[in-house]
Amino acid sequence: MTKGIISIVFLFSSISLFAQDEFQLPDRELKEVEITAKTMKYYSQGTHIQSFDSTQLALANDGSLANLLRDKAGVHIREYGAAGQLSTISMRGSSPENTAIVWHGINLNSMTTGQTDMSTINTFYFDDIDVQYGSSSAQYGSGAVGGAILLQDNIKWNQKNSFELQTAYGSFNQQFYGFKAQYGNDKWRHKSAILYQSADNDYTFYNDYAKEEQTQNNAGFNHFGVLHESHFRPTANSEISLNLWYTKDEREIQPIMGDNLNPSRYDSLSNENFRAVLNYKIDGTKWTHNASVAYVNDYLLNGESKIASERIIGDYRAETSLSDKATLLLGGTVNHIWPDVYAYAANTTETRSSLFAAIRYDFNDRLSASATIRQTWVTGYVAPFTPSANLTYLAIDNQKNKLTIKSSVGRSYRVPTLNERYWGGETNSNIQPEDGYNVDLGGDYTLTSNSLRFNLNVTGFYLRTSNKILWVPGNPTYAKNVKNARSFGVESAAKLDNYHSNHRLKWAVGLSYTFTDAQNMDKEKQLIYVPKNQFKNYVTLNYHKWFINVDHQAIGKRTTSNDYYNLDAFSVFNAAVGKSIQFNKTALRITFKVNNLTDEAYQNYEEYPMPGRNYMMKANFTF
Amino acid sequence: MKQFYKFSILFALVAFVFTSCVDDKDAAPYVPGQSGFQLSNAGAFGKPNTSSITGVSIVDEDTTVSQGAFESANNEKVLGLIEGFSSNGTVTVINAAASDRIIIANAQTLKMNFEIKENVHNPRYTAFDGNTAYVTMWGEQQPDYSYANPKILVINLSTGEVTKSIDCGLSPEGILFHNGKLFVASSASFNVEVYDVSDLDAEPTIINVNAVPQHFVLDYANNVWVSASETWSLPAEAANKGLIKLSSDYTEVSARISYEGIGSDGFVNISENGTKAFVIGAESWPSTKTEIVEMNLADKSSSTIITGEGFTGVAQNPATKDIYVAITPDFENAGYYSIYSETGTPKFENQEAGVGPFHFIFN
Repeated sequence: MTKGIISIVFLFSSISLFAQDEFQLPDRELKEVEITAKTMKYYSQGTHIQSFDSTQLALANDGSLANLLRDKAGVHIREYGAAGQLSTISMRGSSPENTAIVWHGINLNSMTTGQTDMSTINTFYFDDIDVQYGSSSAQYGSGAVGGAILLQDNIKWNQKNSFELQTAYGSFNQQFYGFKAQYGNDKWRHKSAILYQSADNDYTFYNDYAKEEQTQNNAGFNHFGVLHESHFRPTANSEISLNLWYTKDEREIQPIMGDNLNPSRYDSLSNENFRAVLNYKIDGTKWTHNASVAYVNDYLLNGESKIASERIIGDYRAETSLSDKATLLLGGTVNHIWPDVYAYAANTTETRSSLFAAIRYDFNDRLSASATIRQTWVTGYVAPFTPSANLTYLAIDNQKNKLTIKSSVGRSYRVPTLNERYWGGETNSNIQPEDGYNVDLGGDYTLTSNSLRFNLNVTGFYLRTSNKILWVPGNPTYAKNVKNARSFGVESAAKLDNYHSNHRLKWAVGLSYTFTDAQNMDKEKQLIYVPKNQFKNYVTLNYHKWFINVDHQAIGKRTTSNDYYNLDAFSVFNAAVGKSIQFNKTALRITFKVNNLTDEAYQNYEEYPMPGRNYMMKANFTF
Repeated sequence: MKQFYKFSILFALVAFVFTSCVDDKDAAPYVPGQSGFQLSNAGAFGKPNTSSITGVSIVDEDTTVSQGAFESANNEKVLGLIEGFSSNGTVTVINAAASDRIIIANAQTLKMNFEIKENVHNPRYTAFDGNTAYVTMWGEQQPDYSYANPKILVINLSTGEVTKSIDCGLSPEGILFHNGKLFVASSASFNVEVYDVSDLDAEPTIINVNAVPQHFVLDYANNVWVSASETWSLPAEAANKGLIKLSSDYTEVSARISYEGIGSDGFVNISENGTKAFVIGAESWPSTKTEIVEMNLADKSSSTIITGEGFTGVAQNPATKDIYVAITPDFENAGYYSIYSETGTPKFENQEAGVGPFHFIFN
């Protein structure tokens, strides 16, 4: 009852006060270092992009990308239990393979499984994170069907060296130790981050099968990672950078609820990932050239079964201004993959190559259009030709009101993963890439008064996917194009704050709502584990050196493989209170967090109980 | 501030218009009929809620279908990858491998008489001998995904008690009781084990069938046949795969009907009069067609009578002689069953079932 009252009060207060939106078109691409070629975001101006900068990441930087997006983004994160367990993403109803996770131009999704475990990517490594909703295969290649997550570093050349030390301790023996630094001079600039995180996750839950309270077994994990970047400017118009990122995860695999007390069903997983990118940029008189070569090694060990792959990626792109209003980008990429999987034929390799072009034309200060095309070739077949177009129009722009209308349309594709193509020892010659298209139409409205600022962002979308790949029984079990799906819906978010006022009490209230009607077109059933309704809200208060933040998420029912069994809706509150303290040049920020404030018993993914109320104390030093 | 309230109302309205819930769908209650059949749906790995039993009941001329027959009868779910689903006409034994559970239920109503969980690890298939059931059990899963301590459990069907457990070869799968002997397929080897029921502690006779044995059928002349396939770790020569007849003294192989395309799980079922066996297989990879192959056990000829996608189970209805085929389109969605005439002509296609349908029991 108490939880219900809190939910209702919170929901209505959010609606009446209005709410937050970080779903606005970011303008960071316009502030980039002059040598840097414009990112693909510049050619995606009509899409819905949600941005998290370092300030917004600060509260969530003791957790993973899964936690951040679960709490703050209009996506659905499928958590197979406690923090550190497998977490996958669904954007606009698409499957986890249909979201590209991009770091320095590399799609981090495993070449073998096609997915990224979002729990293995800690937000502490990054300075900015963008969530681009909708198909962006023309920009980012295979897999960017439901959307793309862009992990970014913000190298600041003209600022003082900065250092950050963070430690946290919480329930279930949650531990976090991290150090991050950005340092150098006018010629060299470095960024280093190192972290260790672990948890036992031995929380109690009610086991529906055993009809008793039990302690969760076999759900602990630890994560170690180091990221280093060195940037060198040999001349005023050129830059060389080396970006290295290594992570190692050791995890017990949380058993399904019915097997919690059955040690013979306990399992574990170990994975190591190493990514290296060497990049060279030069700003010529007419063209900006950007060339990079990358090496990625993904290694996963489950019991005695090894699933690994190595790849080398070469990428070149050149950009020029055709006029004051037009920008052209041309490029190509080659990705050669060497898998090492026990179930593939020996010496299996695959090469994927793409050519792409993008053009943007700013008709005036209000109207802007862009188009991107991409063609990909994969060993043995040709992926669909992929065009996309974007349009933005600044309909209202005065002192108080600003309204931008945005639209995008694009084709999308996903080439089969190596498992889907080579599992069983012979090449699956029948399998085709998934194919689809996406249409977006939305608006971003901002109203500013003397003390208040209100922002509302609403985007409607339609996403159609054909030839979706599923695993089917056979001899051997194999992957097959069997399904057509479509989804439509609305992503909306509103925010009201007084950050521009002179009041000492700063506050912000946010409400976001995502509606996703995602249907298996062969069955007229909502796609499994895709909620139709998601509410995510927050309230933040800042007074003097103190701050309070309350997050709320309400996730609707989700269908499962069993047509007669749906997962219950759930509603979770997280709260944080903290204070900043200054010692000479060192700033200390202490945060006390209470997760699952109302001790909701729920399952995000079928059969995996989530932790009840839990606590964490975090200290963050910057100097 | 008025503007804010206007937008607030607009926002709430948009949310309200689009808000619709995922509807819950209730399975019809199971009503045992004069005739009909039950179909076990194994379910998906790691999702015990997907295991179920489809019950089709015919009362006079009315047919009712329940997709949650066991749940309807017992107010609880089967849970966890149903492997064996077999009946002696009085009781049905359901072996839920992933939940380590053997269920003994009334064959007509599916009402559970007994549940056996203690010392049960990955139960597989069942053979009946009067009031006794023999259940194969793979044993406890090890970190390298092998299984340790495989057993055959001897169960008193009147009391639900395990009266004896016998050590046996690795991964015991199919099992058959006949003529005082217990035939067990050790599916992590090429061996069929033959136990003398009068002395289950004695070492069994081992028959090497040169392929991986899976399931047994007994033909019209009381000959014992075993299906044999290959696995990833135990490849077999093409000529050795198929259906294998054991000698009458149960010491060796006496005949083979070779079938290179037999599925790795070696699914086989006997016709209503015992003259034919129905085996599930597939055309050579990369063809994705599955097929029902009818094998004449007298002249050892075979022919494909039905082809389609995703066949995982087959049985002949003794009353109508129609052939029932279970279909698993993928591992994410509910499957189907189709009914064909004895000659393979479709009669009713793609009727709703649960996830991973496999075994039929006819009332």
